[in-house]
Amino acid sequence: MSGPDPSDLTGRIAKAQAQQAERANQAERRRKESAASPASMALRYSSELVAAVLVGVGLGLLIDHFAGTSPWGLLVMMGFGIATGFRNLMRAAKELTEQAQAAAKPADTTDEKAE
Amino acid sequence: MTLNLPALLPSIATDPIHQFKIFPLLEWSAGGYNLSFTNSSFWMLVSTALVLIFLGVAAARGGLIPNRLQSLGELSYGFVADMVRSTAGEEGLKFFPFVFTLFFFILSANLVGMFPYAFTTTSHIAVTGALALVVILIVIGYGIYKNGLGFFGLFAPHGVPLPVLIFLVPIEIISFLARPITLGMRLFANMMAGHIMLKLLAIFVVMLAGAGFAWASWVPYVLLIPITALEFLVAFLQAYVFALLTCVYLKDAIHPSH
Repeated sequence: MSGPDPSDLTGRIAKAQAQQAERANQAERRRKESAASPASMALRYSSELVAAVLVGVGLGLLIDHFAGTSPWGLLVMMGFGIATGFRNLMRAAKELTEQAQAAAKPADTTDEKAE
Repeated sequence: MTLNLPALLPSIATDPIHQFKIFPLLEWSAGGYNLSFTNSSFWMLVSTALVLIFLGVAAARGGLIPNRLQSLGELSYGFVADMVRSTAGEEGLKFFPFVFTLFFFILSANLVGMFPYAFTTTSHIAVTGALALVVILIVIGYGIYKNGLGFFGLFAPHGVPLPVLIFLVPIEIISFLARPITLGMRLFANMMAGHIMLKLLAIFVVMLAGAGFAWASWVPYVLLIPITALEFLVAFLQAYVFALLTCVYLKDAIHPSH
């Protein structure tokens, strides 16, 4: 009979699955590394900050328009918008740092295993 | 109605913004709105058709042992399904068709835009903003349908004292409303910036030669090659980021607790 021994099928399936999981892990890590390229990081930070301020200003103008509280709605909501922008900015920075650390870590552990 | 097909023919412009110009191919207005079929609509149709052809051909064979094209189709299915499962959970798989469509439409539109003379539909915030609005409306609609008013618990995290909540709730609401803007803006800004950069470098090659510096014009030309490769990466990455963020927001709709 040609081909490999069929009695070892379970072992071969397990091996193939392990290989595929390893490949998926590597692909995931690569993707995370490339996602943090400087240009996309800059765009991410700026869009987080700008979007929140824009929404704050928009909400403030809406409140003023319907409640007639000009300019207080705009002032207060813009303040909240700026606060949100900075909070999101810090959150994004934390996320990217954690991602970078997580991307660095598994590489270390696989190196140790290989030794 | 006038058909203006010659407008699609290639034209050379030294203005880097000219490539983003929208012009009607088929003039049509209804109810005071300009609903013309534009070059943007045309290229959106092309990118949709390409996805349909690719997946149609890949799925048509249905062999037990896939050939290359079929396995590419299966891989793309697995790729998106894994992404939805790992970010939005098993329940998120309900939205798999939506995320898959979104991912492939954006990917195809980005890649079609990489062809010379093609129009990059995703470089317009009107397109990406509309996609982001669809995402956020689905999140809000499904969140309220699934959790009722509990969905608004998203804006008031548990275990926070009342005085802090007064400040936290507006911040959370603004942060939620900012999501479609960041989502749309990131895709549009990446695509537009990349295409302007490509165009500027390409124009620079010709302009240097025209100004009598032909011996130096190979420099921007060589630079253009890696940047073109980078743009292909960005085209894929931005489609991935858009789909991934959609999954993250869908998770909030399924489990609004913070």
